[in-house]
Amino acid sequence: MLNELHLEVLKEVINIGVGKGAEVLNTMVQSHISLEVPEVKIFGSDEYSRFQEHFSETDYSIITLPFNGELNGFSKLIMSSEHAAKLVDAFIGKHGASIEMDSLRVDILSEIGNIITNAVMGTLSNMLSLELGYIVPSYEMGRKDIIIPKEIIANASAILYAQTHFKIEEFETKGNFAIFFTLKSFEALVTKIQLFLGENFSSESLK
Amino acid sequence: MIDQIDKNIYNSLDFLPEGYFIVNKEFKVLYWNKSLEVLTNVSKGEIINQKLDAIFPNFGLPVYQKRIEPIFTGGPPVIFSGKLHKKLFTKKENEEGHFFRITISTLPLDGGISNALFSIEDRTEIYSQIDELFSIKEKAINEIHEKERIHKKLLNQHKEIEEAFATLSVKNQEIEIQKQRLQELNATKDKFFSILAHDLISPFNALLGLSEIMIKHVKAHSNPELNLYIELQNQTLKQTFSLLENLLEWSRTQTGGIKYTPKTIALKQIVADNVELHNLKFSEKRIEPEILIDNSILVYVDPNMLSTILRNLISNTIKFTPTNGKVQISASEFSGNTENPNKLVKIAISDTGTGISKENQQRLFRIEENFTTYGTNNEKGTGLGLILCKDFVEINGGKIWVESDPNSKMDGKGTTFFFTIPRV
Repeated sequence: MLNELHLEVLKEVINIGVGKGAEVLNTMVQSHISLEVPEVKIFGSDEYSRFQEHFSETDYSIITLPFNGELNGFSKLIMSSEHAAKLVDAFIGKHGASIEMDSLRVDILSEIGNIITNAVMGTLSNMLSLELGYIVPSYEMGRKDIIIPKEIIANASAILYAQTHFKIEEFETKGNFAIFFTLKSFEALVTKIQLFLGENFSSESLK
Repeated sequence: MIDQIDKNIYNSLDFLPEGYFIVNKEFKVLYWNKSLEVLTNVSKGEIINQKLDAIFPNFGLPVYQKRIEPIFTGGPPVIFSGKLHKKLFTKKENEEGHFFRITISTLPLDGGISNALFSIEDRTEIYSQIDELFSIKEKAINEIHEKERIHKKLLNQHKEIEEAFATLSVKNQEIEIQKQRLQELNATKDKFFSILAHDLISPFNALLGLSEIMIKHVKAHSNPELNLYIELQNQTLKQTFSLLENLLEWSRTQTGGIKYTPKTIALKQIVADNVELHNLKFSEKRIEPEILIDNSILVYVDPNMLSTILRNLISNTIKFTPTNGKVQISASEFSGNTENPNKLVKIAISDTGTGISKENQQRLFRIEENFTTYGTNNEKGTGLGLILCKDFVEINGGKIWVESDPNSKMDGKGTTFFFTIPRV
C-alpha cells in the first residue's frame, strides 16, 4: 500500500508537471500565470464520498485525458463553471463574455486542460518510466456526479487528487486535478514508485 | 514510408471535411489531404516532403516545437484552440489568420518513434458568429448604457421641471395676491375719484348756485329769504365737511397714514360724547337717543377710531330713522368667539328706521360696491362711513355686522348695527 514516501513522490511528480504546464500557459497569455498545488491526497475506493466533499459547486467543466498501457485510467482537470469562465476571460481578454459562449469555452478550456494533463502525465511517465498510450482528450460540462468516471465506480479504484490554484495577476481561480486509476493500475503505480525510489535513493537514505 | 494499407486510409481521408496531415520527426510533411488544399490554399504538390515550418513559419517557434515534440515519442495528444493560435497557418506576418482547431496525436512506428497526425477543424464560421454575438452584445450594452444615461437625464429634467413648476406655482400665488391687492387699490382709487367726481361736485354746485343767487339778488331778497339761503349753505357745507373728513380719514387708512394707538377708556363716556355731537340732528327729528351702557365698562381701543365708528353709525341711524323714531345704544359682554380668546364687548346701535334689504346688507361694507342711499329727509350719505367703520373695528380687533328688517316700518324693528371691541 502507499506510504508517506510514495505520496511524497507523487506530490513531486504533480508539482513538476503542473510547473511545466504553467510554463506553457505563460507563453500563451500576456499576464503571468502561476500554478500552485497546495494539497495532494489519495482516496481509496471506500473514500469516494470524502473525495466528492471537495466539490461543492453545482456545475463543472471537465477536461479528460484517458490513458492506457502500463497504467489505465483518466487524468482530469475539473473546474467549476464559474472559475472556468474566469480562466477563459483571462485568455481572451474579455470579461464576463465567456459564460454564454460555449464553443469558445470548450476550445480554450480544452487546450488549457490538455496542457496541464499532458504536462503531469508526461512527467509521471518520464519519471517512473511508464509506457502509456493516450486517447484524444474530451470536454464535458455538467453536474458534479460526472466527475468520477463510471468505469472507476464500477471497479474499485483509487484517486490521486491535487488541488490547483491558478493565479493570473489580479484574479485567482481554483481548479482540481485528479487521476483516476483502476485498482490494478494503482498497484502497478506503487511498484513503479518503489522501483523509482530504489534506483534513485540508497536504502540508507530511505530510512 | 507509407505502405499500401495506409495509402487506402489516406485516400479516404481526402473525402472528409476536416483537414488531415502527417509530419515525421524532422517535421517533414508526409501526407496532406484535399480539404487542406482548400482550407490553407496550399496544394499537396507544394508541401509534400517540405518541412512544415518552411511553408508555415510559426510552426518553427519554440513554443510550438516544445509542445509538439513529445508526440514523436508517444506523448499525449496536443490541442491548439482556434481562438488562441490564429496565425499558426499563416505564411507571412501580415496575413489574416484562420480559426483552425488543431488536434495532434501520435502515429506509432516501429522502434519507439512516431509520426504526428494533425487534424484540422475549421472554426471560422463559429468564431465569426461568436464575434458577431460579442459585437451585438457590446452594442446592446452600449445602447442600454445610452438609454440609462438618457433616462437619468430625463429624470433630472423632469425634476427640474417639477421644481420650476413649484416655483411657478408660488410665483402665481404671489401674483394672485398682488393682483387682488391691485384690484383693491384700483377699487380704492375708483372710489376716491367717484367721490371727487360726484359727491363733492354736487354740494359745490349747490353752494355756487346759492352764492350766485345771493350776489345777484342780495338787494332784492328779504332777510328771511337770505337767512334761508345762508342756512342751506351752512347745511351743505356741514355735509361737505363731513364728507371731506371721512374721505381724508379713509385715504389715510388706505395709505397707512393713521397709527393705531390703543388705550383704556370708559365706553359710556365716549358714546355719550359722540351722541352729544349729534344732539341738533336728533332734535330736528324729535328723537331721544337711549344709552344703555354700564358705567363700569372699560374698553381698550384707539379713541379716535372708536369716535369715527360711533360718529358714522349715529349719523347713519339718524339719517334712516323717521321723525319721532327711536334710537338705542347698548353694550353687552360678547363671548363664544374661539378665534379671539380675548374678552370682547358688543355694542349695538339700533333704530326704528327704514331697514335694509338682505341684498343691500351684503353691499354695505364693500368698497367696490359704492353703495349709498338717501335718508328719510333726503339726507345724502358719503358711501364711505361704513367702510371706515369696518376698517377701524378690525384694526381694533373686532368685527362689525348688521341685522335689519326692511319691513320695519310696519312693526318698528328697524336696523341694528353691531360691533365688538376689546374689553379691559
